[in-house]
Amino acid sequence: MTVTALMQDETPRAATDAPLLDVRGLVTEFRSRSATVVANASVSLQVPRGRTVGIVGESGSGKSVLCRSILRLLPSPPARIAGGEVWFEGRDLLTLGVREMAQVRGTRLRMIFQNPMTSLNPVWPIGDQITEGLRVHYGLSGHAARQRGLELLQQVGIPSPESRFDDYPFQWSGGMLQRAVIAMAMAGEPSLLLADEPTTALDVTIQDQILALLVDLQERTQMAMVLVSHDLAVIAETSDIVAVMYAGRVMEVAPVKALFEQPLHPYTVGLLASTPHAETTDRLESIPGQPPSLSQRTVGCPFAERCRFASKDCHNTPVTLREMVDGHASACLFPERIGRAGA
Amino acid sequence: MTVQPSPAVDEAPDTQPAKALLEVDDLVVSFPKSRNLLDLIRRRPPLRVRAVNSVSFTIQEHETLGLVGESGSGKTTLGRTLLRLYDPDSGKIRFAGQELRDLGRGELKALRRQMQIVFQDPYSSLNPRFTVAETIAEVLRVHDVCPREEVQARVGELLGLVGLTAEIGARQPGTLSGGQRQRVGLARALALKPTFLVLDEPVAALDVSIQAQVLNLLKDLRDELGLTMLFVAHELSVVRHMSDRVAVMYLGQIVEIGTTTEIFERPSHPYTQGLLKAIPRMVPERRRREAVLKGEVPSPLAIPSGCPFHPRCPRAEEICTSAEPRPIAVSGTQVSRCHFAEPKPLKPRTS
Repeated sequence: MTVTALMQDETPRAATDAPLLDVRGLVTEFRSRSATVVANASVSLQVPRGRTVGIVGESGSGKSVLCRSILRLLPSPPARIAGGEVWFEGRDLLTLGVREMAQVRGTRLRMIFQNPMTSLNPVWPIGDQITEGLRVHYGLSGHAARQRGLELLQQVGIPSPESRFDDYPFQWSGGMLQRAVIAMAMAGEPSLLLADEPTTALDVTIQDQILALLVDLQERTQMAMVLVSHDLAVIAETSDIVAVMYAGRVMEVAPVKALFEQPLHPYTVGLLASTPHAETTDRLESIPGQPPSLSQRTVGCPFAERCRFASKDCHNTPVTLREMVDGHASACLFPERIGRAGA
Repeated sequence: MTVQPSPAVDEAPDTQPAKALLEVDDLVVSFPKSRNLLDLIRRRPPLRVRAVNSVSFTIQEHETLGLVGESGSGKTTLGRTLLRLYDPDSGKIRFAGQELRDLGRGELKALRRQMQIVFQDPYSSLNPRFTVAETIAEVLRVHDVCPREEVQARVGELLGLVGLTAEIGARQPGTLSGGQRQRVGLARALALKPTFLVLDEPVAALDVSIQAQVLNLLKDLRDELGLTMLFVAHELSVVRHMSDRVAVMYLGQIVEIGTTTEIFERPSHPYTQGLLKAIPRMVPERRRREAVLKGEVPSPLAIPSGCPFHPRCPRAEEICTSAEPRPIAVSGTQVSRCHFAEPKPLKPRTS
C-alpha cells in the first residue's frame, strides 16, 4: 500500500535512488483502560533526499504522532507502535536498540518542535545545550565544541553569538530560541530534519524569518526536511511534496503544484476552500461536521461522514492510497467526482 | 517617555451619514511592571509598561473594525479597555454618546449589556463545572433580563442561534470540541442582545475547517442582528475576510488605519507593507525571498525613540529616530503614522 516514489521530473537523480526515509504502514496506538485510540492507522510516506515533504492536517490528524513515532519519542505505555516499518538510511528504525536509536536522533535525523520555550532546558546556558550533542555524539572537546557552537549560532542569524553563548533561555525571545533550537539540530549535519509546526508559536514577521532560514539552510546543506504545519500557505511556500493527513491517515500525497492546483481528495478540496485568502469572497466554504473520534474504528473512509461526494460505498469499503497520476496518490474511492462537481 | 498628544486626525472626516457607535480619543493604558527586591531597596519608582499609547479611532454603527498586530502590540489590551475591563490612564472612550470613565458601577453594568466580549481561548473562558445551559443562564440571571420561567427557552434559542442543538445545553465544556466551545462563548456574549461585540482572536485556537464555520456564523449573526464589531486577530487573512476597516497596531500605537481595501492593496506605512509581505501565500512556489522585516519587536519597556518602528524600518532616516510621526491622512479614510506618508492622488480615470 505504499506510494511509489514521488518525484518531480526535474530530479532524475533522485528518481532512481531509494528514498531517504521510507515509512511503511506505520500504526501507532494509544491505549487506556477505556479505549484504544489509533493515532496513526497505517501511514506510508516517503521522503526523497534533499527534498521537503510538507505534512498538513488539523489537530488530531496524527501528524505530530507520525514524527514522534518515526523518532520513537512516544512514551510506551500508553503509546504503542503496533505495526509497520520506518526505513532510514538503510535501517529499520523500529528494530534499533535504545543506544543506536539515540545515536540516530543525535546525528542524522533531528527534530525541532513547535514551542522553543519548552524544548530547551531553562536552567542550562543555551550554548552548552547546543554543543551537548557535539560533545556526546562526536567527542568534541569543550573548546572545539564551543567554536563550532559559535559558528552554528552565526549561521542561524544570532548577532554577536560570543556575547550570547552563555545566556539562559529566558533571556531570549521566542524567535531567537527557535533559531537556537535549529542550530542545535544542525550541529550534527543531519540528512533529515523533522520540523513539527516550527513557526506556529511565532509572529508572522518572525515566522517569515524562520522559514527563510530553514529554506536557506536546506539549500546549503542539502538536507531533507519534513515540515509539519496546519497552515497550507506555509506548506505551499516551502514544500516539494505534500501529504494531507486526516484521522490518522494520509489522504493524499502529491507534488506541491498538483496538490494545490488539482487536488484529488475531497478533504483537500475542503481544506483549501476553508482557508481565507485574498480572493475569498463573501462566504468561506466550510467542511460540515467535525473530525471523527479516533477511538471508533471505521470500516470505510474516515472522511465519508463529512464528504459531500460520499455514497454508500464510501462508508463500508476500506480505502487505501492509490496512485492516480505521476506521484499523485489519493485515498478517495471516487476522485473523479471532484472534477465533475468542482467545475 | 513622554507622549505627544496626537491631534485627532486619526479618524477621517465623516463621509457617511452613519453614526459613530464608539469613539476613542487619545487612549493610554499602562501596567506597572513588578519590582524586584533590589528595586524596592533602591526605592526605584515602579516602571510602567505602556500597552496602549495614544490611540484614537471610531467605529460606526454596524461596522466591523479589524485590529491586527503582533504579540505585545497592545491589541488585546485595547479591546478589553473598551469594555473597561481595564481602566485607562487617560483618554476618552465614548460609547453611544456616553463617556465610559464617568460611569459608576451600576451604570457600567447596565452599559455592559450592550457591549460584550468573546475571548480567544474557548478552553479557559468557560467554567468547567457548569453545564453549557448554566453558563448562559447565569448571564441572563445576573443581568435580570428575562423572567425565571423563560430562561430555559431563551437558552435553547441562543444555542440555536449559534448553530448548536439544545441537547448541548446539558453538557459540560470538557465534552465539547473547540469549535463548539467557541459557539457557546458566542451564545453567552449574545445572551444580552448587545449592539457591540469585541471578538478577541475568536478563531485563533480553531482548525481551519472549524474556523471557516465560525467565521461564516459570525458574518451571518452580524447581518442578522446588526452587530457592530471590533475584530481582534493576528491572522491577516482572517481580518481581511471579516472587516470593513482595519487598524494596524505596533508597540501600542495604531500605525495605520483605513478601509480593508486600502490597507491590503495600498498600504502606506512601512510596517503594514512588511507585515503583508511576510504572510505566506497559498501559491505552490518555493519561496526565494529573504525575510521582509528584520529584527524583532522591541520590549514595550524600552520603546524606541521617535518612531517606534524605526529600528526595523527599511525606510528609516535621521528624523525617524528623533521625532514621533504624526498621523497623516493619506486619503479620506486612510491615516498613516509615518513621516514619509503622502496623500495619494486619486488614480486618473481612464475611460
